[in-house]
Amino acid sequence: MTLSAQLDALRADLPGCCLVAYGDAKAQLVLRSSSDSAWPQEKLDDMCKTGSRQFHLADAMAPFRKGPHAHREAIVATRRDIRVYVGAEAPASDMLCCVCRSGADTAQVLSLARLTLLQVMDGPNV
Amino acid sequence: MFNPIRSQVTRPHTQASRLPDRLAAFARRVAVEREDCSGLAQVLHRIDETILPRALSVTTNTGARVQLLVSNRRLMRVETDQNPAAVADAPADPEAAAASFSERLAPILTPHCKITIRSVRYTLDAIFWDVGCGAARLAALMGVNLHPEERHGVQKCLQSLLQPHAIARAELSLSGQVLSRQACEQSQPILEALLDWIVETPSNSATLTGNTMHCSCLPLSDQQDALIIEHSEGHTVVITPAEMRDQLLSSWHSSAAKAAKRAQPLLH
Repeated sequence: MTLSAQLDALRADLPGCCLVAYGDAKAQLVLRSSSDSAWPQEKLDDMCKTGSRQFHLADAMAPFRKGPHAHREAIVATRRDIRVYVGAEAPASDMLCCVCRSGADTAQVLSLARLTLLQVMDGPNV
Repeated sequence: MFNPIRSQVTRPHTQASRLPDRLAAFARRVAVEREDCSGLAQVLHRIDETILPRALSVTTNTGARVQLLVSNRRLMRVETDQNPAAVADAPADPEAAAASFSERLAPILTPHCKITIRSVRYTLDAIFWDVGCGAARLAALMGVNLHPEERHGVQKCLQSLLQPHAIARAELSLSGQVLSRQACEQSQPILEALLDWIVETPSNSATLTGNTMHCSCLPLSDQQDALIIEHSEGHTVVITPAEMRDQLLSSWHSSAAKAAKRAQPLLH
């Protein structure tokens, strides 16, 4: 399965999800995305930057995080949507961001995004 | 048999005829909301709402005067009697511009001064390259709350929703000063770590870039989340039960959307 197909599949599994982006938190760049409409690259990269900042916070809070939340993950509610970020454990810097409408089931988004990120990192198509 | 002829009388209240009334009502509401604004806050609001290039001449009740060049919701130049603007002095980045402009404005636009603003159209020349700075950064440097309605929205949301569920809670000012703190023994270290992170990494704050009203949620465990709400007056940090996450995020979301609607810019 190609990376694009994996991102498409994740978006299809998440009701109300308009964008799934795969990027590099260290380089703060989105490398591939799946969306219902075109997103400008600079917006995608800004989103990646926000994710990277959130992961720094997640790292700072590492001693207090337990269970599945030991992964780098964060949720950011903007005025328009809810963005769920899932990142690989350091030193890897792969990350996924899902943009969902308000009221999304964040636990479901986190769990499916985590699973997809692991598949993407294990797969041959990255 | 004739078909009945449909009446051709124009409906008295079309969308078009109601528009001026709606604009007038909006202007009245804005005027009432800003009645208590200081001169400085009025100037900052004007910067935040001005999109097309305008030269503003501001006169205070003490007779002091300042000339401002504003465009695209940014303050581009500040000229006072003591500091005439010179192109060579134009700050190279927004942070430098905010620092320089706030230094010039502070002695003239004191917190309680009354002002008169005169605005005229201005044509920017082709080689105009000043970066200027946004009202939000200027407001932060000068200690003014640019969008009190945002704070109201966030506070309302916090009081009605977050507070009953908060395991721990703290308020930080824009400068990073802890204004209030409330935590039990177990959550105290988590709260302290969160506060340290925010204070030690100010570049992580969305408020510094003028991009206010974010709510970040960091899942800590199946039982707890950390919420960091960034607003125009600083940060609110709350540790909440994880089961409340979606409800709290949705409520914050709708409250922020309403606040944003109230703070929309006007075209002059």
